[in-house]
Amino acid sequence: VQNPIWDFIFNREKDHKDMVELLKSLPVFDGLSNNELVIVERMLHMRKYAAGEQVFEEGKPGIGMYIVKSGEIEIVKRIGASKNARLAVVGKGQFFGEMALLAEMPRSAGGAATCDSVLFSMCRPDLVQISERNPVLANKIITNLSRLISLRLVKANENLEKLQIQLDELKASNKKSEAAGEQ
Amino acid sequence: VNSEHKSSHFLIKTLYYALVTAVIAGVLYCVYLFAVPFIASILCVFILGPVVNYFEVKGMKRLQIIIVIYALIAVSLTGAVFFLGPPLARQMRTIISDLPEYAEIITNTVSGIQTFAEKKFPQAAIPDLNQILRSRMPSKGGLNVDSVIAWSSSLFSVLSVIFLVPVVTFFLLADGHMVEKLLLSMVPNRYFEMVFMLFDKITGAVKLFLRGQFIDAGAVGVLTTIGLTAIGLPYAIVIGLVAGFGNLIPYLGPIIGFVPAFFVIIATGSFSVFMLIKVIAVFVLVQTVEGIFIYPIAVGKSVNLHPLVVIVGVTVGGQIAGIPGMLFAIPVISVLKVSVEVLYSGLKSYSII
Repeated sequence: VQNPIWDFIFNREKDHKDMVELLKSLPVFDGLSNNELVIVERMLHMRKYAAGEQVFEEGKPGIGMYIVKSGEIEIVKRIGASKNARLAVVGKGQFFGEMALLAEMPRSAGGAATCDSVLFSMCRPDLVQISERNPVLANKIITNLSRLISLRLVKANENLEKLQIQLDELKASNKKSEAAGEQ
Repeated sequence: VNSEHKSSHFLIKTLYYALVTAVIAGVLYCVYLFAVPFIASILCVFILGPVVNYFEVKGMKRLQIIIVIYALIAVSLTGAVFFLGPPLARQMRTIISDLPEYAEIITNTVSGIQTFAEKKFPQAAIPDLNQILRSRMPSKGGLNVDSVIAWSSSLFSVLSVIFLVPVVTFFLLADGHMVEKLLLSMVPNRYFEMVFMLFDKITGAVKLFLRGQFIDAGAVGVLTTIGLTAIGLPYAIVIGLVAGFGNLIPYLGPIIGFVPAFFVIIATGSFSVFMLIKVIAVFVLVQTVEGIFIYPIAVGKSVNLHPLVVIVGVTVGGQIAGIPGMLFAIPVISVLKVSVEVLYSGLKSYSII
């Protein structure tokens, strides 16, 4: 078992190396040197979740992002009073919740484990600490985060445009059928 | 079968919680035993932490910076013992040996006031002020260095502070984040985000407050000492120390520094209106400089305790722990106030309260 106590005492080498490799593949840590990845790895908090356990709840203040080491997390948004929409499923080597790293605001969706999962979390206080001790590294991470969020905004805008076109078409066909009904 | 299963779970759960409670109790007992060196180390970490971070940004290794800082502190402490020690010890020694003499001067002054009052108001029953005063004053030889040391602390606590504080501070500075991580790893998933956020906000606010107070008090102490030395008042270092510590108490701080200065003017027999004006001028100047230049930068947004809270706090602190209690009542109350405020808004945002 990996546990900060034993980590602290024995400084397990192999687990750390595996983790650094995993971090290297994440777009948030693009362009980080190996030494910088080691610094990030030391900051991370390991959390274990049982199947069905909630990682965070929609509407509650968020504090950071999670990287999936193993298992699977589903991101769910409440729609209306009783309906839930599954926005995404996050698997091994992916991450979620990164918006909370930049701003203190309520979680826009909830997250829960679909099976037993191991996550590594990086939180706002950790990022603040990195920026106090190693501003260059913090700058790289924040630039990556901004890039990812901009890309997502572009995608969201495209979706919005598509939806708008569909809506216009629907409205037009509705009007046609109404006109046909009146005649 | 199912209920049997459940009951065995219950037993294991109970045992687990009993064990956890025992561990927490043990840790709390250790914290109680080492409260003074532990709190002192945390204070040192709060003050030295930014310095270490500053040089880490410049590209130095954390461990090297800490070792250099320790070496510098050792050198400056040795320097302080050599240069500041003898005058401070001399001032302390003369205060203690001259105390009976000063008492004489003060009782004479009081007698003067009493005869004056009795002449003016013959029908008022004025109690014998001198008798009251004498019963509270140290007799000749009653106050010596030995009794002062015995009163202030036992040998053990002095040694534990001297040895533990540097060691604990060293490890917290070097590996503080690991300790924080370890504590957070014990928090259940459900509360992880909330506890981390509250912990971060509370330590952040407390850090800022304590760092500001420390810088502010130090500046007032040094400025007062310099000012009083410049006008030639005896015991300037001792009064500077009192003024610095007194500065921890809002509203009353400036008065706390002025009272011993006033007594020194009277008791050393150097009383003159000119001297009094000079001393007042020094205190006003120090307070002005502190108010305009130091306080806004060091402390910034103040904790804003109501004056009534300050008065009650200082009184209760004095009742609980004497003079140290009076000095540290306001910092403790401020820290508690900040913590409760953060806790309240935090728990509210997680809709727990």
